[in-house]
Amino acid sequence: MHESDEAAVAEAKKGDREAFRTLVERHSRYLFQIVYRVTRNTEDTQDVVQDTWLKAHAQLGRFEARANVRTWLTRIAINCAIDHLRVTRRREPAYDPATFEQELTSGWIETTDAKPDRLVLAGEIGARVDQTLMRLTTLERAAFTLRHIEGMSISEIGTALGLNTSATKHSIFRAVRKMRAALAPFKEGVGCCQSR
Amino acid sequence: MPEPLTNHLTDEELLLDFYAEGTAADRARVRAHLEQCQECRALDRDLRAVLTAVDTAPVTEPPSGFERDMWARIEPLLPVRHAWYTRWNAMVPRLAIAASIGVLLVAAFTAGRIWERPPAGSSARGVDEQNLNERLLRAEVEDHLERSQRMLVELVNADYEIGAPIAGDRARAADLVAAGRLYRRSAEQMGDSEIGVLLEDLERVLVEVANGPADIAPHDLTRLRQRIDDQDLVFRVRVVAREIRERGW
Repeated sequence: MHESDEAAVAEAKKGDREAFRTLVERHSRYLFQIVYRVTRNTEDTQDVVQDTWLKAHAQLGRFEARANVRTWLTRIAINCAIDHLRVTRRREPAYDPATFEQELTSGWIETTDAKPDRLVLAGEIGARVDQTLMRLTTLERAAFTLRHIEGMSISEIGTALGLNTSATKHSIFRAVRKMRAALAPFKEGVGCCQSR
Repeated sequence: MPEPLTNHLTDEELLLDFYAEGTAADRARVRAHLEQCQECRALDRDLRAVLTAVDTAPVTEPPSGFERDMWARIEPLLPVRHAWYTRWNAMVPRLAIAASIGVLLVAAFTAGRIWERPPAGSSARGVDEQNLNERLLRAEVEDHLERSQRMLVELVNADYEIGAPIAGDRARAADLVAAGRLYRRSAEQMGDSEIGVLLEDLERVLVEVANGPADIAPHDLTRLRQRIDDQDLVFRVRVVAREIRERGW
């Protein structure tokens, strides 16, 4: 077992499979969590993490010793997730503004009575957020996740997803509108209000 | 007395401000407005509360043993550089193995022994032979798809700037093309059009590699990668290989 990531990468560059295995076993769980936020599907996530490692192995020669291994892997994983989304988006129904408005007004996520207990409430809010992320379109989820969780700029996201700036912004706006609508029943817990 | 504010901030402006997008002037304007407008401050507070709530979503953990399973998945797909592997490849051409399996498959299929259930009362030996043939064939096709997937992944991921990836792969591609043709014929005879179509699409790409120059030009490699991507070839090969592995052909 190699002590540091940098040492493992250095050995892996020389063709040491065990060194690469160390990296796989050390970082796969983290990569799963990153990718799952975008795909929301366990099987797809496993495929994307697999692609991430294959790409990382192919690009070992490009890794610079002063860089952070986890940051490098995260960037590759996000790119692989985006590539995967490009494929899955072809199978996804196109965005329909009418459906979106209908979903907003009809409360497409079933409402529950928010319980007063803070822990229970926090759990319900977390579950509702999770459920809402699942219901976003692939594009909305990707754009929102990359902006909100991964901290990429709108410009970077647009480039990665092949969208112009305006379309990228609107994907994020739609995601946030849906999130606000979904969390409206928990107004006391998160301070939701109706969007303008 | 200050004039009442009529042009309230929009959700979009508040969101861009939250993410620190936009120009310094945009941000200053939003800040100035919020200082004066109680209604927009309330909206801003609510928006931030929603976005903060997103951070409370539970983190999904991978299945137990994920790291070990991941290594098991990728290890066979990594380029093999061991000398013993090269020697073994030279001694036992994959094409010969594929040809043998293909002949076995066609013969067995023609005799109706592989894909039809044996009649009641068949001998245990016949059943054993059938199971053996099925397992052998399944393993070979799965292996063929995995080797093909490995080659596609290398083509897609290889770093052209640090060495042309195709130079040493033409023979491997030719081997896969020849083996794939036998399997495709067998699949078509069995009426499995999905595998037949996949193997045909695969063959077209591999033929380009097998017949291409040793030093592929960057634009040709880009075109090849685009073709692999357009046809979702890696994804389809992976799915079919997984189906064979999990459910049998």
